[in-house]
Amino acid sequence: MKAIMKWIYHLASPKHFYRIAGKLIPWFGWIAAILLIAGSIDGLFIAPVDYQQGDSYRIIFIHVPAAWMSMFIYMVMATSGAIALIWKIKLADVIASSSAPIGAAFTFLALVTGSIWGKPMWGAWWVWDARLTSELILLFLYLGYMALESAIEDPRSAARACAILAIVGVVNIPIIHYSVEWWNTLHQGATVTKLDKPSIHISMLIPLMLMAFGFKLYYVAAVLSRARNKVLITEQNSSWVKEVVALESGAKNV
Amino acid sequence: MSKTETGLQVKSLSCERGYRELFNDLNFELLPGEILHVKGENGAGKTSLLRILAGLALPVSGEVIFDGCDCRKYRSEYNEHIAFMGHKPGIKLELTPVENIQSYCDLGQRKTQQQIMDTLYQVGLYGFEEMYCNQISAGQKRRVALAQAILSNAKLWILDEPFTSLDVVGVDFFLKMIQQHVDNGGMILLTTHQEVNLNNYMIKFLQLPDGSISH
Amino acid sequence: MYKVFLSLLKRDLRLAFRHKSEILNPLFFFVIVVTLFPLGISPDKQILAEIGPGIIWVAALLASMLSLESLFRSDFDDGTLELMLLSEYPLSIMVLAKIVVHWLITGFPIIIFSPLLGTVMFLNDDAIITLMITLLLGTPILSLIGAIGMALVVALKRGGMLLSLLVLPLYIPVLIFSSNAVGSSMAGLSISGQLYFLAAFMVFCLTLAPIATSAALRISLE
Repeated sequence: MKAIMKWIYHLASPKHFYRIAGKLIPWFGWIAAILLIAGSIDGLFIAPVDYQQGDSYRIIFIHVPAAWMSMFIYMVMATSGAIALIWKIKLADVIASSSAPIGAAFTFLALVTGSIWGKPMWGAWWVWDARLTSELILLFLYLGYMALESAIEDPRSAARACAILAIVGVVNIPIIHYSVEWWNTLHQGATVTKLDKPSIHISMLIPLMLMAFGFKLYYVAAVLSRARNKVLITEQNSSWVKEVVALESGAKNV
Repeated sequence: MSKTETGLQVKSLSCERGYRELFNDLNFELLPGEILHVKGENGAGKTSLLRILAGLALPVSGEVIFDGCDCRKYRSEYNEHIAFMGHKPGIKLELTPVENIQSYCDLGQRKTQQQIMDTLYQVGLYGFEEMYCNQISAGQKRRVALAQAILSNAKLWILDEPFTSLDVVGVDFFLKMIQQHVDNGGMILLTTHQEVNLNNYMIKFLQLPDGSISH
Repeated sequence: MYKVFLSLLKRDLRLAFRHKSEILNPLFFFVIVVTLFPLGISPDKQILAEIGPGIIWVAALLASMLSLESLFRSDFDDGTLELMLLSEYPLSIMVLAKIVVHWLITGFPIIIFSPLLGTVMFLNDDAIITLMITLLLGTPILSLIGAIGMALVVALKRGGMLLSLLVLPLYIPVLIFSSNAVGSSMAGLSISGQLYFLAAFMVFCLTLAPIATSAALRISLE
């Protein structure tokens, strides 16, 4: 156990992270790009037309994965916040705070695509249906997180306060979600998570999954590159950062 | 280095504010009967150091050990042994001195009304015990805070600028209390901008930010 | 431990009674906000009875949130909060005492005054009783969740706006279930489900919120 912890601390050391993340980002980025292009082509041109909604349903290939990502990223923030509070791993704080704007962007994307999807379906840009409302509240949670982070001057206190907020938020999300569902049971239920009897055809599931994995890998690439920048800022006093900066600026001068 | 099991030991303590390093690798110890006077310019990290030692702030790295125990792991036990007096008065203005001291003592060991009254007289607040604290002067508020420290029975007093807004008599009186505390085997950590006559006592000086100790 | 709880409870109640405005202002706010709606929408009995439960609950929510400042602000400013952190007793016990006081001076008066507002919003007798029960179960939740938010912003100079951003989304379940319960009892439907939810949520918050609040306070005071 001790050896494992030691290994984790070693991997999570900012210097090590900076080096490894630099190597990994292109891989995640390119695979994400390939998946997203393939998923878009499949979703827009190959997948069959829905017999009820026509072509307009195709926006779910963005809407649904974005909604998944919005939830997933909040979980990541809360988990890494907890890790940072308990084991005092600085990198976890960096991951959490780098994730927030990406998560908020996905939430916003899910809201926008949801309302565009709603226009032909319900004839209005906004309908107070359960999923959209939950997504809106999630956006508020993200905004609160980012507002708190920017309001606290000391970066270490900010990270710790945000970790508490994210944990409180993640405990509340299922409760909020459940109450909003209960408040409005008009909307069609989650169609993909019913794994035992999928009500979505396989030809639609494939592009959906391509897009979902593409989004996930894009998130990994984006969060790693943001975290890499943040690490340079938080570790600006250490010698290895000074070396990196000297190397980079030297390379530019040549 | 003596391997004592009593007193306060500070091992390779570092502290940052924002991304600026305040001090790095600070090592010192404080034994019963000693006073440590933390010196340094404004912004050198005196208050930050005192807050870390009180357990209010987290250091970037390093350990604070009291009587052989890590004070972060044994927070409740450590808190029994310290009294902290920060920049803020630590008393409520809408309460009388007696009510203030009473509610402070309830956070630790309870004290009888008689003990509280005796201490109030001792710090020279005779006749003010029934006034609200917003009617007494800043110096008198300091005396209420001092009474709280005396009643806490703490071994280690952490005093951040304790002499502000005290008059000459007040400072003399405070020094007498400090002397008494040290004579009884207590320890004192303090910062002050004022020139005070502390030289008779077992006193050490800690210079920030480099952390050098002089006698 | 029990003695610390009681001592702090007594101290804060005494402080509140020396500042009567702390008790009265949230109550006045609550009454005024509810009064604005008939003026802004319509004095029509049908409309008001329909939107009344929601309005009264939103007003209660805002009144509770705006009074959160009194929870830790003055203790932070005069340094007594630091002394609480340095006590040998668990901080969460002291935090709980302060939350109880906050509820007693803001939530409780609102419950007492709610029948009056229910009447002016044309709620029927059943709905008014339900309104009082939901307030009894719901306002402690507002104080408990609000305490976490207040603990996070206590050290910030202008934390008021931020506090509402942090706390209001978390209040949503209480709002949904409470105002729905009042509306349902108006319509003569069963409301046990909503009340069970509120009770469960209150117990849940009662156990976890003081712990989260004290963790947040320790971070804020660094």
